[in-house]
Amino acid sequence: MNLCVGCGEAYTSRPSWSTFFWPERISLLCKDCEGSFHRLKDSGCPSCMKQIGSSICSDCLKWEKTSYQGVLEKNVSLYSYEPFMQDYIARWKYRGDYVLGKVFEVEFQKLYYQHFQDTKYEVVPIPLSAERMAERGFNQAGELAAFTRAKRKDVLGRKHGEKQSKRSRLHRLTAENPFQLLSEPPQYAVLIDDIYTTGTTLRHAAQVLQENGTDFVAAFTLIRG
Amino acid sequence: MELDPKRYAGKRLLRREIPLSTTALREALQHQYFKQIPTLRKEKNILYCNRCNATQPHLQNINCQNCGSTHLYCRNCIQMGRVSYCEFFYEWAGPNPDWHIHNNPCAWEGELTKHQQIAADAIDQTMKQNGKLLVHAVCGAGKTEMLFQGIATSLQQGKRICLATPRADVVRELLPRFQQAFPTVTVQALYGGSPDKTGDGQLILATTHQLLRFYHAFDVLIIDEIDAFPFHADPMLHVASEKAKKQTCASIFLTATPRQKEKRQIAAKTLPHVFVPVRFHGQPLPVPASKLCFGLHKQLRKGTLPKGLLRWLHNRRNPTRQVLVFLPTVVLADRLQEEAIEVLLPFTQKILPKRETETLIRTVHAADKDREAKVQAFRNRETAIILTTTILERGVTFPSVDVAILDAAHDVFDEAALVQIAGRAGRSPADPTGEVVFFHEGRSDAMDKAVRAIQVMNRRAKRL
Ligand SMILES: [Zn+2]
Ligand SMILES: [Zn+2]
Ligand SMILES: [Zn+2]
Repeated sequence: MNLCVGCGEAYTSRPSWSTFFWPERISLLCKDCEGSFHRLKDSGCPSCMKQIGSSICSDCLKWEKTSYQGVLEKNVSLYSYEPFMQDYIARWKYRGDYVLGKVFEVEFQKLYYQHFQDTKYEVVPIPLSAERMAERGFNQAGELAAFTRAKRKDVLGRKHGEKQSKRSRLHRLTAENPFQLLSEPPQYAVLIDDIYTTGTTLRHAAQVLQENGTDFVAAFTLIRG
Repeated sequence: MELDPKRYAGKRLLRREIPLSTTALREALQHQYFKQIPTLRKEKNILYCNRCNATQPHLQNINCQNCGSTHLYCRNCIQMGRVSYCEFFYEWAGPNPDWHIHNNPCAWEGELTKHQQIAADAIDQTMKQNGKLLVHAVCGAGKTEMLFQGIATSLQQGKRICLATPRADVVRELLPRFQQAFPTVTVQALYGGSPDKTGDGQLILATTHQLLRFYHAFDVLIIDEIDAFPFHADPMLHVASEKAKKQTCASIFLTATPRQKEKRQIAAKTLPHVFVPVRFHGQPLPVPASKLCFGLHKQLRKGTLPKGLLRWLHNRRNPTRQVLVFLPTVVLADRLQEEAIEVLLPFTQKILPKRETETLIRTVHAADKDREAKVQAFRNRETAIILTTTILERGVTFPSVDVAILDAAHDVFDEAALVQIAGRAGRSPADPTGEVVFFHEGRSDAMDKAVRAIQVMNRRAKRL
């Protein structure tokens, strides 16, 4: 008998041969909660996984007409941002319920190696501002980066802590890049964040890397918002 | 430095709950206005959360970047802000707050019935003597008004008072009533997402969870619906209520449907109690009728409504009353077919003629985002029939309704729930009766017990 970390209900998880070798892989969630996460289909936009049509989406085309043209190779995400996930992520990030993140480890890692198998890729988590870090005690992007077990470089920092959600989209597009480089960036970088919404944050980060010599930047995110 | 004791006294606060700069807090600590308390404590090698008393598995590891180590945090009370091993609680150690001594605080001018007055006197006495009292008052007895006298006396003695109730709906409903009754007192409502969060009022109305914020705060603690889920099921809330009390503190427990534990305490005379078996309008409680419906489970599973319900709707004594229909689970409520709901439409015409059909019938459940609005629409008589899960079982009052319970023998409807649900009918002096019907496919023990309990209360009321 386990308690589901999502809903707190008791449930029995079926042991299998894999849980025998890796006891930590016993599912942390009950079936109801596990079934409430929705995996994205590969059939969406090949560039950002937006689940509309099967060709490059209008969002991505817009980016191609800006100064961010070509900075981000592609984005790969695992789940869609439905109400259950919104609530779950809010509890993980804003309430700071750390163990909720562990649930994503196995699937996040699997999908990472489907796309970035080569060991030349190194993961770069999107950093939190100092204020947020003090509030939360952990960076969800850092957690996700650790889940991949790939070589990791924390080369990005935040310039100032300003709440991004309070700004308009236009303002965000034109705003100053909030990131700065802390040390030598990798040649092949995979940016890690919890959510890809407009793609602005990730492009800001990608731009900093590219300007400092990175040849290839892709994004690998938990959720396509 | 000047800090308001009212703002901080009676609480154990996390750093982020104290609106002081690092230097100001350091200074306050030097002046010994606060003392630091560890967030977790170890007893016999077991760790406990110092706010909610939870232990494993509620304490889990976090790889904390603030202190650079992996340590425990508490998941059990995290909705009140995360308690982490590397942080402290700050407990007020400065001067005691001077709570105002009110000469004549109560502006309520209504009159109590004879039975309400007996209970009001007992409550008043208990508060004066810092005792304990269980108030067993039937649904619709008017328990809020019974509290006013004792609260007024307590305020005259400069005491601090908290009324805790399981549901935010009820806190919101009570706030204006208390503000009107005690216009010169700082009355505050605290619940998840409440506009006021400071908790520096003399009279606090709060959801039971909010008690976790307090530590040795109150001279009088009133716990409403002592039998309700989650209070009776969640040990954390008992811990929270014990901690919120000062060393000497009066405890008043309110219930319409005592559980075994309270019944035993009453029988053993270990808990003083007062019983109010009559509704404030003097009319007896509606006694539920039972209707056997063959194939009820199958029909509900298919998303249709039993014929018996329609027959009853057709033959109601007062077809203009609004109707509350209770279903045992959200799943069944979701499964109801549109055609099944449409069958109800003709009946709505007699309840609310001339209304648009859209909002005449509504379903509502706990996780429903529009829950508040839907309940309000029903209260405003914009909705004729509401199909609901047990969330509308208690606390909420509608003046003139009939009540149907589908699959009343289902496990979720225990005796207390059925008595509470039946208690929704006949609440107003203008329409003091109402029909309550249990639709079932085989009676349950709880149904029989609920009917018997209601009959007993009515008999006791008659004898008075
Ligand atoms: Zn796209
Ligand atoms: Zn706790
Ligand atoms: Zn720490």
